[in-house]
Amino acid sequence: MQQTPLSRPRKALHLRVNGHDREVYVRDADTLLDVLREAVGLTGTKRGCDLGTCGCCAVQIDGRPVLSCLTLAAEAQDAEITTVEGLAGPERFTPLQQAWAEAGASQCGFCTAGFLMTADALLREHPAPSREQIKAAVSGNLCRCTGFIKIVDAIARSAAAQHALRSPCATAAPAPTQCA
Amino acid sequence: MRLPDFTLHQPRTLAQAFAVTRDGPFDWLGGGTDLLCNYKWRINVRANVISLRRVPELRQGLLGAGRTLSEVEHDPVLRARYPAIAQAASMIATPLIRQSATLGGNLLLDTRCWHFNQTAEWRFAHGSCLKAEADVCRVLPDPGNLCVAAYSGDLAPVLLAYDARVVLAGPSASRSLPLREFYAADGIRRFRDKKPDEVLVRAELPADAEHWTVRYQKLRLRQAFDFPEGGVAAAVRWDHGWAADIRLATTAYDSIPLLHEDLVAPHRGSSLDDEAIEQIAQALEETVRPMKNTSMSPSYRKKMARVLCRRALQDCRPQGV
Ligand SMILES: Cc1cc2nc3c(=O)[nH]c(=O)nc-3n(C[C@H](O)[C@H](O)[C@H](O)COP(=O)(O)OP(=O)(O)OC[C@H]3O[C@@H](n4cnc5c(N)ncnc54)[C@H](O)[C@@H]3O)c2cc1C
Ligand code: FES
Ligand code: FES
Repeated sequence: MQQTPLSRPRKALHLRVNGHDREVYVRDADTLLDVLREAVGLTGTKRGCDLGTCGCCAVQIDGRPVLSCLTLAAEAQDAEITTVEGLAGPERFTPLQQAWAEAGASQCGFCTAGFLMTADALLREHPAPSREQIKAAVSGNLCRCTGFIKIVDAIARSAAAQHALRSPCATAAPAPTQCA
Repeated sequence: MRLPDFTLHQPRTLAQAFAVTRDGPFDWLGGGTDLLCNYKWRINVRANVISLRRVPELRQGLLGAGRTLSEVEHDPVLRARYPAIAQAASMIATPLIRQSATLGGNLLLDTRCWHFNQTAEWRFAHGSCLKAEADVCRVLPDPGNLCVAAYSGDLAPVLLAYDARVVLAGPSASRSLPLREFYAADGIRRFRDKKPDEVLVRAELPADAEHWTVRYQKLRLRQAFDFPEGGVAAAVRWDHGWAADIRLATTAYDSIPLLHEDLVAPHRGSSLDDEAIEQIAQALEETVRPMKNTSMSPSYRKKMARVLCRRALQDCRPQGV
């Protein structure tokens, strides 16, 4: 078990992050974002607005995408926390990350982790979402660079690729790249 | 932005929660999507925060205070029988926020104002206001000691249109009261007689709720993120083509969500034709008095009250009328 104290240690807190048990020392008032970045050392999750208005800090708690800037770390104990680092190993991409790269859905990349965590949860619940469903699902994530179209393309592309893998050319996939 | 220090309590029952209230000044915490933003801005911070997340009593029932807005939005029973509630929930904030935000926190949402929802630095540079650290109102020269911060919750007008009740539990007793008697027209006091140690347990719909057609219209700049700049819920109980009963409720136009009984009373029993709808909509525009304390101009918000009202009432009419 890894022990990583914050600068102002208070209480020991047990968190399960990306399948690993972590014991951290935090204030009651530390947010999950504070703790993930500064105590656990996972800086993939980004601090944008810190007020719920950008989505950069999205992580998954028990598979649900939530804002870590508005979640107290202590409220996430006993839960399964997944950050962008937990989506895939350092050596390989998930199909969603692959589609992100291929569609050019990252420019500066600051928003990417939040989008990926939101989109990953969407695709688990709706493996073949429509573009409207994709837009609605990521409507709490802001990107200052891409103009969003490539982000929606990437999610649709990933859904289509996974659909094709599951049932090669059996039925038309709803996303833009359909089986010929 | 670090949150200021406080002690977090995580009771597992209501009884445990009430026991902690004796530890000193406290705030209840639902999803935290309103309270923690205010705390980050050093607004009215208390030494104790009591999380209600683990209290099972609040998750019971269709409209349990601890249910998340995401659960409310996707609930198949609500969608089928009371679609306006699911629809209004789906229009709140963003999908990410709705994963944590609760129904209870939404009904008890703090009132909002340009001069209040600001960083501590901003407030101190500006001189702060009645609702925070100062004793002046920055919106009206003489509001008569009443705070005019806007109540901006989206569920309250819809639940008012259904004539819902709220169930409160306190250390010694529980009680139920009509939602229409819950709020006070003062952005600071906010509630008529809710005691600080009372918890909202759930909302309840009246037995005839399913016989009402309810629709909600929300004014906002962006389809996500934005609080309502105006919100109108309309409800009609149809009886063989006649609007046997009508209710109209607003949010974001005042420091309280309001039911406008007098505006609809003359049209009860009518066919609610275009002319009747226009009369109600015009009367609403004349009634609402938005203040200069949100992003959109008061005159635009006032004009839009008529549009929102017209749309909501038209949507209540049976298809094809
Ligand atoms: C970017 C952004 C956009 C938003 N947009 C909207 C919007 O469009 N419409 C809207 O209505 N809201 C909006 N909100 C505000 C907020 O997210 C919602 O109103 C939400 O439903 C609040 O619920 P919560 O559980 O997070 O409340 P909390 O922050 O936990 O609590 C809010 C208040 O209610 C009290 N409280 C909570 N639960 C109880 C209970 N059971 N009993 C007694 N007191 C209780 C708390 O003490 C606190 O005073 C937005 C917030 C953000 C950050
Ligand atoms: S950092 Fe959490 S929403 Fe912006
Ligand atoms: S890629 Fe720069 S903010 Fe989205």
